[in-house]
Amino acid sequence: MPGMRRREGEALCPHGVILERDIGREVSTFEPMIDAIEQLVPRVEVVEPGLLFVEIAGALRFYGGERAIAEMVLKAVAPLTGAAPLRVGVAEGLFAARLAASQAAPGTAWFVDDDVAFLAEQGVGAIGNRDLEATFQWLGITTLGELARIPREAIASRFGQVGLEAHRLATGEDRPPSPRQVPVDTAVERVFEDPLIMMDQVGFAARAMAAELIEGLRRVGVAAHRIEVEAVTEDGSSRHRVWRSANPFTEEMLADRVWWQLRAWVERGGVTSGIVRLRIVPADVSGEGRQLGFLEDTVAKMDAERALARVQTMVGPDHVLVAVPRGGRDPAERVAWRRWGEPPPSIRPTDPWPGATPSPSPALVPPDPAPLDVEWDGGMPTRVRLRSRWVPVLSWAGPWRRTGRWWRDEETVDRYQLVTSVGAFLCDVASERTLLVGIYD
Amino acid sequence: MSRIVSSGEIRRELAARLAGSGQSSMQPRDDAGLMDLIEPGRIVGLMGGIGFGLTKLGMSLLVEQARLTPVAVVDHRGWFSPLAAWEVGIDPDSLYVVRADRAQWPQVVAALMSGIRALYADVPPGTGEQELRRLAAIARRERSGVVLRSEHPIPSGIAHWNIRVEDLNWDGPQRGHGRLRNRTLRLTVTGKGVAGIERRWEVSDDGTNPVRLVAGLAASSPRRAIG
Repeated sequence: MPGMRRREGEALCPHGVILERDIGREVSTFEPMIDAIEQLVPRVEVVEPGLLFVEIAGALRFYGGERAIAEMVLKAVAPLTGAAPLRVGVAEGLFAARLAASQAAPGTAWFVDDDVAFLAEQGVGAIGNRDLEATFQWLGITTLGELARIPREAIASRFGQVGLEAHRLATGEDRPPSPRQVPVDTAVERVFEDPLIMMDQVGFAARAMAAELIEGLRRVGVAAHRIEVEAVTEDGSSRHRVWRSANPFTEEMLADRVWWQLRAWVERGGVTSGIVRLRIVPADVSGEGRQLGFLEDTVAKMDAERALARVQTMVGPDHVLVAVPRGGRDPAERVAWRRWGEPPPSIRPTDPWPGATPSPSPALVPPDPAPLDVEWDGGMPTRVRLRSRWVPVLSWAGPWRRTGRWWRDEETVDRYQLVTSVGAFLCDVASERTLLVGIYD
Repeated sequence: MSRIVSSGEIRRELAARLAGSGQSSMQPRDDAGLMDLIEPGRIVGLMGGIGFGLTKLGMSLLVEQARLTPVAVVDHRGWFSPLAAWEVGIDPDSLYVVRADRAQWPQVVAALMSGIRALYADVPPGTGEQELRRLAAIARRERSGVVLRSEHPIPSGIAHWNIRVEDLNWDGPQRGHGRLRNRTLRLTVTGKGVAGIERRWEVSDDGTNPVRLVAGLAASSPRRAIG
């Protein structure tokens, strides 16, 4: 059962044999089916073992329509699938095709005439994000049609990037990889004088090439959503396969896929002798793979963004923030907040700000200045009340007279830095009232 | 004359050069011990009241990580100001601030730990020991370095380093003259990170650099022998 814990399974079936998942083996088992489909329609794109996309626009006229292609694919694969017959979904977009396939009866095809109408009837669970699904359900949005009817701006404002992705899928606009011309040839190729005959050698080569490819893409500020793996053997035969991913390939993802593919070819007889040339070609590159700094870790950045997207669905976009420095005299003025995922404002923080509070800056700044009880003696602060107790002022700096913006009815205030045994505080005094502006924490 | 340098020194040197901080010598910095407290899967506990300089200290602990990966601050009060983080050298683009109330705080911290490798979380009052232990387990599993700042003592066994503020001194202001310039904190450090032996550290904060560990200034704790 998907999601069942191992311990539960062992309790229910003590004599059961636990097998670790071996994705390489799954790919290997899937390989003959891919070959069979590729005999009919070229350019198969593998997403994971058991799921592949086939672009059929070019084959429609040749075979005489979608139904004819689907029937031929089902017929070709039927002898290979055993107890789990193939399901086929045919639609305009990848997302709709995938959903249609999941709803087709085993051994049959599901044809979608209108992607938008088909998607509108699907539940929000189809997006595949449990947190987002729970929030949508809680808000009364149960189908993709209901989600699609909400203005995209409203979804972007409430759910940020992850919500935008969901809205795009709901409206039938599959995640566009924003195809972009790669300025230089980023394909990676290795020629081996001594043919690779050991799987371990192939694994090492795959990992090294994956690292090289990702580094090359990173240098030009792009990431690949589709890669083509090509292997040439000693006897001159060559094999190639396309892998697709919704998220940009990372080094680890890429190395795994290359390794699985090569293993599948070796185990299934696709590669019959030593490998003399390996080539990985990136395709569907997108600017969404950002230009990162020299020391930055791409994988860490993507992990962080995934975690932030998850947190954004929990607390809302107004509470996941990025700050930008800007000019100002008050500590609060010198910070421009923006929601994570929104474009940064154009601010010139280097402009001089005479009269700005000098460094060090307070680490805690209340959103609005908070009243603070301070006891004064002849214009000198003597005690500060913190919660229920009074603490003596050990030293202080100020007052620094700050003239308010009269055109906004701001009054003139005197600014002090007060030092006590439990910390230092930045305060404004105006009209015999003391307000806490910041805490030097 | 050549000498062998550690990868940590090279990393710091490279980061310093790229950040344009002008530190071009390979001499070990006296703040190195403080910077290296953040380790994957380990928790640093900072204990002390508001005003004791622990936010700035926490930011200083994140500086090294922020040069490599994004870091996050979980703020339950909504008072956190990134000015202090920028002053110690954290790049604005590398710092994310998440505001979460008491009810959401544990879930938010747990979710962030799944992807953020260095995290500063201000523990809201009333957070239970079980919640903190659960978060510590998640941090270990996700290999996330976490700084937990609390006004109250953090239960034993959670933090690898327990840092408690003993004393605070500010230099600069004198009865109206001058301004805040330099802060000195005297800390007591306990936990597995110091092999269970209580240590005293003194750190200095001049406002414009990461909080520095001042070597050799703090006296070691007097120990008693039972005979």
